[in-house]
Amino acid sequence: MGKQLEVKSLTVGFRSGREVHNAVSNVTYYLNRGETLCIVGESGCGKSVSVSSILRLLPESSTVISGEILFGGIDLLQAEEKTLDQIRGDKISMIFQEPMTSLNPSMTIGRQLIESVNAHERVPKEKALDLCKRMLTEVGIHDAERCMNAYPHEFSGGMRQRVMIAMAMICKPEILIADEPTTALDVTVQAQILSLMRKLKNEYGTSIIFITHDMGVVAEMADDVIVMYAGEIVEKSSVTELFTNPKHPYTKGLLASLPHIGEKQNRLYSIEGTVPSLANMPAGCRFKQRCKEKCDACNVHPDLYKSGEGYVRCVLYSRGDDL
Amino acid sequence: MKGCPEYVLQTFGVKKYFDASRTFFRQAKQVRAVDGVDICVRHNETVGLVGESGCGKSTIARLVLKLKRVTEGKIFFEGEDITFLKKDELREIRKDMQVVFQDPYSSLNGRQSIYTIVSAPLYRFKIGTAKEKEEITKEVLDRVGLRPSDMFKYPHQLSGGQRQRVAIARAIILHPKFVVCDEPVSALDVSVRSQVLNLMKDLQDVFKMSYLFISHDLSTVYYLCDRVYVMYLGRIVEEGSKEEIFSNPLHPYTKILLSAIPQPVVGRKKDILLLAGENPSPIDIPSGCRFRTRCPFADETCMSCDPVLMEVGMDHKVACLKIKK
Repeated sequence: MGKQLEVKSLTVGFRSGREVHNAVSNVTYYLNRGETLCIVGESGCGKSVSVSSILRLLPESSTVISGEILFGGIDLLQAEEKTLDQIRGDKISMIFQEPMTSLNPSMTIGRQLIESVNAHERVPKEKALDLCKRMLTEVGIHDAERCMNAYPHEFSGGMRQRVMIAMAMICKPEILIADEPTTALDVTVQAQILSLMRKLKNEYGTSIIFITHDMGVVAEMADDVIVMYAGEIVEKSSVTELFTNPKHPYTKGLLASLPHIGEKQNRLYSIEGTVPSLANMPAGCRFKQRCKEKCDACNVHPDLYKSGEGYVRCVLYSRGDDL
Repeated sequence: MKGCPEYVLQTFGVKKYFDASRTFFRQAKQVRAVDGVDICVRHNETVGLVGESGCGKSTIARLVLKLKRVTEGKIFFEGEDITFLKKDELREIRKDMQVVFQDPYSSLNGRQSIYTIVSAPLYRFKIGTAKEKEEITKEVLDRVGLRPSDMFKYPHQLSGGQRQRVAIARAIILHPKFVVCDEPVSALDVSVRSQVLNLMKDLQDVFKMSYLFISHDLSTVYYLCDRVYVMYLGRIVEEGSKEEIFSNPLHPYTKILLSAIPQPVVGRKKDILLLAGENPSPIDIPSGCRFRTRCPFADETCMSCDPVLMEVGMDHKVACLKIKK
């Protein structure tokens, strides 16, 4: 095991008129080889933006990115387009939430799959076809032959997501970034896709960055978890630690607000208020307005403090392990 | 046939078929979206309707609200047959029957102020003077946790959770007896979701409403509902009290559905039952039991015999041939 990908003090801002609003501020994390790292948070907390910048998928004209993203000794943020093209899809690939918008509706599945093979390797057509069919079978599509000649609209959501996974895995990437891959799917289909991803991870040894807002999915998939709030990491820890001993008031609130099956709950806990807007970030702790445990010290912006094996961005833990 | 006044809503064998387009090669076929469904909702009760996308649960919502005509079957509202009511006869009933839709971004008119949206039912039914209308609107906004000053805002100025509160305010302003909630919290974030769920529970305590709560999220259904209907491909396959369905699911589909929910608990045993194959299309519904093509326990009898809902215990019915009394 070792660090496969390191993100160091990544800040991503969006230009809006003359101002720049930071959607992600000072985010640092790393991904261990063969592990699954889950990033959780609500919409607008910067989780998608932080991973899109790994492959530099954000429009350069309207974003301001600083920091470092190290992969195999290269800083992806400084790398040239040519180097990036070799990495995208081959070493690091990505699947998105809505498979219909990421597949080309006017091309057959087969052509799209072969395209992604040819982008990185020069292989004879026969071999490429064979590889594609094998991959489709691998992701649980039984009739691979027919699927190759079909168009995306002929498939259900779950099947399309399988095709997306096949396309992402076809070059056997070292890292797979999955941005809410199951959010648009039914629970039973979600269970199929999650078990498929676990299987592929074990078979190919791929490391996964998994973005989700569903704590249940986190519990099922993750080795390590990052909780994001308003563009910042508020808690980082192993999955067991996060669920048995959550530290940040936001994490505690999130977990407490979930309905549990089989438990009598008269009322659900709810975090008061709403997420502050990017343009109007409060000074000091960004969660303080909604926090039940706030104090005067919250007016100063807290660092990520080490607590136990994890990290928490909350002054309550500023004195370290003794709390 | 007569309805029972004990129930707010009853449906008997409701069917809705849509015509699928005919092509040169294909005979006109019918999409059997809802294929014989009996549902009843008691006063002050929350009934959950769960199932995957495409199983017909939203069609049922539209049928009982009389937004769509049934192909066959009867709908009773407070014991009164409303299946074939005319438009102006329906108006009176619509007072007692409201709806909250899934997506608060598209269910609110972006060019109307919150006041116009929420007070629309008052104007529709000519209730109160201008001043009273404003008072009632303020009160209902306060009830759902919005500020009176939000009255002059427009939907785009509000967050998703606030918009859903507006949709709820509009639904409850006339104190209806029955509200259909079609996936009201699916589009909301986790922390906002629990706020809205709590609000719905509080409002029910105050106004003694009944909810038909349509959802694919079984954990919210468990939290909110008293009774649950599980739907598959246009039919109810299992119904019963919440405790029965969640602690003693009998239909294989319910079992699979329950095991598929990712639980926010670490170290849970991973004995997840996976559903094989794809959802069959409601145009070509399998013969016999409609779940047989994906059922791990199906055999030959399931191919020929279409199971009906059978009583298997107190307030618990299942439609499966493998389950004996």
